[in-house]
Amino acid sequence: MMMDSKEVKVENLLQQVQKYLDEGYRLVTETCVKENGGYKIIYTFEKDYIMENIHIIVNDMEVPSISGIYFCALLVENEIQDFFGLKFGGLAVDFKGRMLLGEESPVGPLASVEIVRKEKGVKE
Amino acid sequence: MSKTGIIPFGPQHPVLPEPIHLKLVVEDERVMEVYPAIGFVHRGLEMLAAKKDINQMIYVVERICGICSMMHGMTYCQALEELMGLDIPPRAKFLRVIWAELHRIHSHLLWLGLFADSFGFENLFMQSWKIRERIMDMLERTAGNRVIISVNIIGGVRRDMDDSTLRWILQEISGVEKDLSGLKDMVLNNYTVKKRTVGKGVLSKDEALRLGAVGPVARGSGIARDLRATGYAAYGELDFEPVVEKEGDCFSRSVVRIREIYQSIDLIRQAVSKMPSGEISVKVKGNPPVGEVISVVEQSRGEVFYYIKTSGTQYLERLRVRTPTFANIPALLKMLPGCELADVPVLILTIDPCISCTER
Repeated sequence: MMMDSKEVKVENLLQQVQKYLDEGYRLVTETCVKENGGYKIIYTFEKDYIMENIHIIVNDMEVPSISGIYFCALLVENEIQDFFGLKFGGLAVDFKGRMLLGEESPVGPLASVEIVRKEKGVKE
Repeated sequence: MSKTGIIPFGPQHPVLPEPIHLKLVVEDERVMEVYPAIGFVHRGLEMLAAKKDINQMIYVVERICGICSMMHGMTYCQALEELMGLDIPPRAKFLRVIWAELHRIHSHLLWLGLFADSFGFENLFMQSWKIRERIMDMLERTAGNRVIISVNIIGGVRRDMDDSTLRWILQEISGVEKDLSGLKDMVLNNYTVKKRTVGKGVLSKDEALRLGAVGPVARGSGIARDLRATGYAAYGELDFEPVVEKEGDCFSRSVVRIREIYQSIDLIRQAVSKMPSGEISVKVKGNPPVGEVISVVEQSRGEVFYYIKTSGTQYLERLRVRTPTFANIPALLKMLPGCELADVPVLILTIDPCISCTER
């Protein structure tokens, strides 16, 4: 189906997601896409085979986690942390960017900007 | 006084066909908490979308997972067909159903073997894989390969089946059904199998919904949800009702898969009998337009989700794949606490984990 998505402000995200849970929707997944130098995170819900999408536009690196509402969001939010270098506040289990990537992997390989790991003990 | 400790399960373990690591916090023999670790076989296939054109990407997505390869290709092609406004020939839709259901049968038989092996039932393991070989032969004869059959193209399928091949499929599928009759009893009415599965790893309907479980894991918990009911490909022209069991335990999930093998046999028979004549693909011109599309298909392990964003060039701007095992791991994390350590392999196998799918 062609994507149809409604924008939600970051501060209203948790309230909106809670509404989906209360109405019996299943969280299908979250998808992060680069958008105008920032990121668009799409949340896909499903009920009775009908899918609904909402999205937030994120320009800074801190995003509220919805894993407190939908526990199953923990894997996809960790994956987004790995690939895009974003940080989810309040993640149920936080792998800190190391769920799929290893110690030697590039940081945020799908990020809009190049992220460089700061070595311990090295001065700016 | 009970003893508490941490037991590492995997990434290499006799029952695991692929690497996943679970840190099990145990109190004596009882699992209290579980922490997963994945990332051992991550390949970064989604990133290849920036380097491979839309046709080359079919080969990439087919290699996300061998067992579900046909359905990965189908989901991807359906997404681009929708985006490009292509109406594929009816015969191509029916052929996709036949190959998809053959894949489901061989996937479920593969699972049955691994599941039997997880509690030491070697005979069941060998018998189910023996039957599976007949399916692999069907795939080889119809597509030229046993596992990654590469039949999907944007606009249809690349191979046809003549009448004699379709008759042979019906003959072979009846042979598979006959072979299965003995095997079915070994699973559904066997004391040992029931002892190891009934009442183990119970996932209630509410939990399954909250945890986003899909496929046989959700249907084993009473959720009547199977995307084939939405009628994609040619499923809309076939009689179909999702297989549902209500107990939510390991046994229910197993029963769902066994019943689904029979359902797939029925769908193949229906597809062969209703097979329309005509072309098997339409010609595709130009690049896909700018847009975003979602495509979902019911794989053997459950719903697979594709998000595709295009920029009007021959390359995709973004490809995102959410595979069924990725959706079922949170349910596994809730099933394991409270179980006996000896039941951990059985519980893991009842979600039919595919780690190469999960990690892409």
